Amino acid sequence: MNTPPMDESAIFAIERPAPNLFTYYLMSSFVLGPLFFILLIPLYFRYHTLRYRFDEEGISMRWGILFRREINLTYARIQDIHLRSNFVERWLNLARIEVQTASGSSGAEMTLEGLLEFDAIRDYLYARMRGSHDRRSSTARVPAASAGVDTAAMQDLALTLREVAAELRAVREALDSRERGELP
Amino acid sequence: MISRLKSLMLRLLKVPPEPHLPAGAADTARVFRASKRYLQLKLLNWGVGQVLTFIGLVAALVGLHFIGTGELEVLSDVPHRPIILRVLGWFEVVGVLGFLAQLPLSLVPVILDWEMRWYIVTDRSLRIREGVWKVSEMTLTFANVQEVSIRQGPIERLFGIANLRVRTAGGGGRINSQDPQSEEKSGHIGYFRGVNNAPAIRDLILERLKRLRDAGLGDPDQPQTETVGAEEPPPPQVLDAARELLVEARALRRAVGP
Repeated sequence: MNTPPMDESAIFAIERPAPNLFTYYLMSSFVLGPLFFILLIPLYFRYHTLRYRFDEEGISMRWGILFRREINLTYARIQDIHLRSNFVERWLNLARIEVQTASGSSGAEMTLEGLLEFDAIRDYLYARMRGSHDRRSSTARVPAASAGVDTAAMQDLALTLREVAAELRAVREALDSRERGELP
Repeated sequence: MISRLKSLMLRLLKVPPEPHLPAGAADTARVFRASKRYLQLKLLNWGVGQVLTFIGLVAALVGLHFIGTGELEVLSDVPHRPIILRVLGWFEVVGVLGFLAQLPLSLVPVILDWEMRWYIVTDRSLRIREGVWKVSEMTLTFANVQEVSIRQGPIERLFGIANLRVRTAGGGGRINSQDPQSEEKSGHIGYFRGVNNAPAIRDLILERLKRLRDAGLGDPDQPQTETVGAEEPPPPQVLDAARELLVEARALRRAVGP
């Protein structure tokens, strides 16, 4: 089940939930039997107004028609990520990604529903989470990478400094010779 | 037959196969599974429940028999007595048939629930996968872990298993707020249920936690600032300053020189 990692731009392009989500809403509203429309009406509007926005720093989602809601959070503040699915959702190729931050509630701060690429998005969120990259390995990589880039500039700097030193030596010698010439 | 039912159920419920490792550092990943003892405990639970149900069914059958033969003086003055007894008899038949049918259907989920558990510990993160009807996969990084604890009840101790609990920052409530021993329900808690080497897993997690010395409350990642400083090429001002110094020194020589 190892899905190929998703391109960042493909994730940033996600805006609407998949149509399967509405199917799922429809099915879940039938729990109430003949009164299904009580559940279905708010879910209908939720599905049609649900918008996601993924960007460099975080996610925002908003929905609602009478009461509008918008949730924003940054990747670095994510505490844990849950991927949950009941069997109806699995038949529809759906899963919920529940994103939690360190705020006071025990439930998820944000539930991303209706995304078909839930695996790839979860992995992306995980990669952007605090602590998902090892500190030591990333610092160890830096000198090796920067060594090749800087050598030319460094050599230039060293050459210039050496020239400065030579000039100063010449100044000292000039002063020396003048003093020697005046004293006697 | 059990294995056939199992694979059928897995297919019908579309349970995803084994979870893949969190990205990166596959060589340090260790996968823990629920202990066989955990299955035994769950089967014992299941068995006790089934036996109690069976006893209830038998008792009802015996009671119905005695009422029918008139040895028990119940329902003797009620009108339509035969009809009521007939209906009760059908209920009993439905009950017995239902009991027999649910035997395998409730046994298989118990086994599957034990099988479908993976607790993955990598060098940076934890991933806990559980559930059959509702599959839940939780991922968290060690940078966010606040507390690790082990819980063991008397029966679990008898079986030599324990539950390991990993918490991240955030709220949660007890299922039963009166009882401080009751389990907490929160998305911020990851459970390693029914492991037989809980102390070893705890040591592994603590050892990996030790490498992280911040508070675990959203401080920025260190590497980002470090890499910025090291990767930057020497600023052009440095070169300019050195050149200026050279010009200055040259002028000084010309001034003091002959």
